Amino acid sequence: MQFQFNSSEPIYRQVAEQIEDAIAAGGFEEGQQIPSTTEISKEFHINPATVLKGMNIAVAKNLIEKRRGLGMFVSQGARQRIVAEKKDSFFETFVVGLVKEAQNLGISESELLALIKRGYEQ
Amino acid sequence: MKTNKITKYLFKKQVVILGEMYLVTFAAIYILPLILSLITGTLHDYSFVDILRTSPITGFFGFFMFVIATLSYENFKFLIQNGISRKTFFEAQITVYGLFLLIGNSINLLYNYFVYIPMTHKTTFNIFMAAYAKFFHNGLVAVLFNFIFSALILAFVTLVGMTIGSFLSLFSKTWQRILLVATPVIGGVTLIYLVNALETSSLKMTWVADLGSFILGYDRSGIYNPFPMIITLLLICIGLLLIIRYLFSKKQLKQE
Amino acid sequence: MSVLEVSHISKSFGSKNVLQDVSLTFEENKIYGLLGRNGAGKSTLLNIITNRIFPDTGEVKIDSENVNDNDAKLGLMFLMSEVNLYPNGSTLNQIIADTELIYGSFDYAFAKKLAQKFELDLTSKFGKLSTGYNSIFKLILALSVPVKFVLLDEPVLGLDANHREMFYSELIQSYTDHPRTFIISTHLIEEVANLISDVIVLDEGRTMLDQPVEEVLAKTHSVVGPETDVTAYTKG
Repeated sequence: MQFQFNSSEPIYRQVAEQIEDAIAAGGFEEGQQIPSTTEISKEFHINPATVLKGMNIAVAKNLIEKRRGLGMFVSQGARQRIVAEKKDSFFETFVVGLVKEAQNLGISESELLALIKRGYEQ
Repeated sequence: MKTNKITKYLFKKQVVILGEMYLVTFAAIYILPLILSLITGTLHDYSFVDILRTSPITGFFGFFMFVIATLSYENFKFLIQNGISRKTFFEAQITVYGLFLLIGNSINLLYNYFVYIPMTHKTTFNIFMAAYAKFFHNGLVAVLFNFIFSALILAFVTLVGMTIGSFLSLFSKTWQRILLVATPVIGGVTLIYLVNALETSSLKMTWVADLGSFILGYDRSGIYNPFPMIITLLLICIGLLLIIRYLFSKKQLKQE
Repeated sequence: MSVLEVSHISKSFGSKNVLQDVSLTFEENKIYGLLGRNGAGKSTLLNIITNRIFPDTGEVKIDSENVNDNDAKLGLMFLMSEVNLYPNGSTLNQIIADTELIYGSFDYAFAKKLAQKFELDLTSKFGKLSTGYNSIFKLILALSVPVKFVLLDEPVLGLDANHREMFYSELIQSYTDHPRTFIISTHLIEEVANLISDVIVLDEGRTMLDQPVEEVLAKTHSVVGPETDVTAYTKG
């Protein structure tokens, strides 16, 4: 796991994102155990409550799950859910803006699709 | 609450010093002359009995109590580090010194009754024996009161040591040095001045003399009454205890 | 729940006002960072909290009870600081035994484990320790005594980078095993920035900041943007 702590985001969100990224990239396989709150906390000198808060975000998203007495494990289908979520956010952050900008420039739908096709061909 | 624990702690630390004191005293008084006479080849002059007869062991204990009582800052440092209040430190320290007085006073009297008297056939080994012992007709009661009287004198010496020590420990090292030099000088000068003033004064300070002889329990028969003195010592000790309790409550960690 | 309250503390040494009307509340099981430049009054504040010295005005309370001359409350705190209050002639083992006697219990297993990790010989005399090992020993004591408030004044003074790493990890381990309140006074802000949950900044004897770290971070970004931290914020 890698943490970039100079960024402007609160640490707990970064913890959640790092876990998510590691799952998406295959660093943590589905069903595999991930490091405990204490382990992450000790390794990176982060307040355990902060790490836990980050973990809880991932739990709420059903990416990891707690197994009583054993620790945290990557949920089944976690990777798929992350990809789906990333697709959603891809649409929100890129496609919506792209279409809007295209409309401003007077680019029609078919013209835009042609442009996108050209992008794939490059 | 924690007084018992701290009493145990202080006793454990300080009883070692007490033991060392007796050991050093023994070595200095008995062994050192023996070695010296061995070296100088005058062994025939060495007399264990003579030394035993004249050894100032009882005085050493009083001096030891005075010195150890002046030292309190080291223990304060350790105790405040571990969350012990000044009140508890005071109570525990008084208890430990009380126990020491029982030990030391017992050794002193045992020495006097069982070594000194049989060897020298002199019974006037301390103030009590010289002035007050005959006040009691029963020998055992006299011994008991000798114990109480001697203990009170030792307590007085110890408490004076504690008062001086805890007063000085309120000041920085520099101020302590200034006070240590200035107090005897100023005190001495004042005393000389007072004595002169009294001597030259036409006024006879009769009440001072009267009070003095009352406290001493003076009687023309030469058999003094010990009770005024015992009560006076008791009152002074209580007064000193109150002063020391106050001084202890003002102890602080010094800037170093 | 134990709460440590500092109310309206002022203290001056001679003509210098070291603390001016400082009021703070320390809640249970949080890790506080007490930050500020040298001479900001951090050590004086910690010394007053633990009744080592007296404030000119104000009081320190644990659960609404004044800590002054109060064994029950003073026994809930342990302050590790640069000053050495242990006898130089005692061995570390003796000091541990005496500390245990006073507190009634002591986490021997943890202390032994730490001594081994840091390669500290417990049979050596306290006065013979190097600056670094002096700090390490006092930190081991601070983490092994059964108190609710652990106050650390410049804890990593004299420790090399490796030992500092180890210390922060062990601090977290100890905190996880026995949650309690930590107050860490330091000028090495970066090292503790993510460790602390709340930040207090003292400047010239006054409280400049007393907030959860998250809120401080939120403000920091709106003020100076990314790539900065508490330091930048506090430098104003």
